[in-house]
Amino acid sequence: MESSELERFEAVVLPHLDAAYTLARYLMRNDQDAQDVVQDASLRALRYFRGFRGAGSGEGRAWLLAIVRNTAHTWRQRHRGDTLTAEFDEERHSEAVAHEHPEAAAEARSEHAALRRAIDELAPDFREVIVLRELEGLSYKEISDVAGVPVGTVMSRLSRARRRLEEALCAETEDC
Amino acid sequence: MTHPAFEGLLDAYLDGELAAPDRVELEAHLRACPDCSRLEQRRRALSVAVREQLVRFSAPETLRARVRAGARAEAGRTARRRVPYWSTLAVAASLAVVALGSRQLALRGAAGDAITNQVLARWMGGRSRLWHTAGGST
Repeated sequence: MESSELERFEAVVLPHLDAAYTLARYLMRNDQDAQDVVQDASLRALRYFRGFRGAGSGEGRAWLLAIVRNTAHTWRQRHRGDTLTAEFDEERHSEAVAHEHPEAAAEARSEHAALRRAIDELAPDFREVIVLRELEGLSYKEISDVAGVPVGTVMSRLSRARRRLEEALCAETEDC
Repeated sequence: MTHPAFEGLLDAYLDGELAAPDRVELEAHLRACPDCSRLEQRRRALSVAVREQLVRFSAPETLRARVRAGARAEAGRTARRRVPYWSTLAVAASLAVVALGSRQLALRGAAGDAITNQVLARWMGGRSRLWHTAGGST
């Protein structure tokens, strides 16, 4: 790869590392796996970079997020056993969340914590559309490109994900 | 508009993804139906809460450094694998010579074969005529 190509790659990819890490973090639910996924995804991105002809920053972000999403998906399949164990280890999971967010212990029973827990407990397909829409502000078309599903599926997943969040919050905070 | 249809379109409406005819119809239904209006307000509040309360993480500095270093190492590896320009030219030139040479040989070979065939045919023809004559004479 020529140095100009490497510079173009860095200009396209590096500005979106926060978005990439945030998505990976919500999909993997821990820092170490999220970092490994983003590292792996960025190397994949480099390999496919010659084929990337996007011009705008938004396209670069959606392109990188699609690779992160697919890499995370592969990782989850590869480490299915570990993930399942971790998923059902409710207590350890809550401790990890409290440890990662210093303010979490203080407001453990607040709506804030309840919402975060509800997001963590969503199925990955639902969690990713929530993160892509609410945190990254992607359009339905962009989410459909990232997740590799039709726009209609994005719409129904978002709708179901939000309904589940409402139900989870309702059950936890009894405010409904 | 029925309630199931309303709920199916509500999120697209809140996300600004609903096209005009459906949007107008949904807004009319919202004004007429207090239950749906409550649902809309609850869903809107949820969206706001998610946006405000969910953490947007920053990529750790170590990750940023790892990504940069990984990209540079990978780019270096592919650059080393690639053969320098001048040697590509040299290889191309020698391949061209070989190709040209074998084409010449092939042409010469083809021409040679044609001559051989003509000679053979003439010789065979002669022979067969001879044989025929010989046969006829016997």
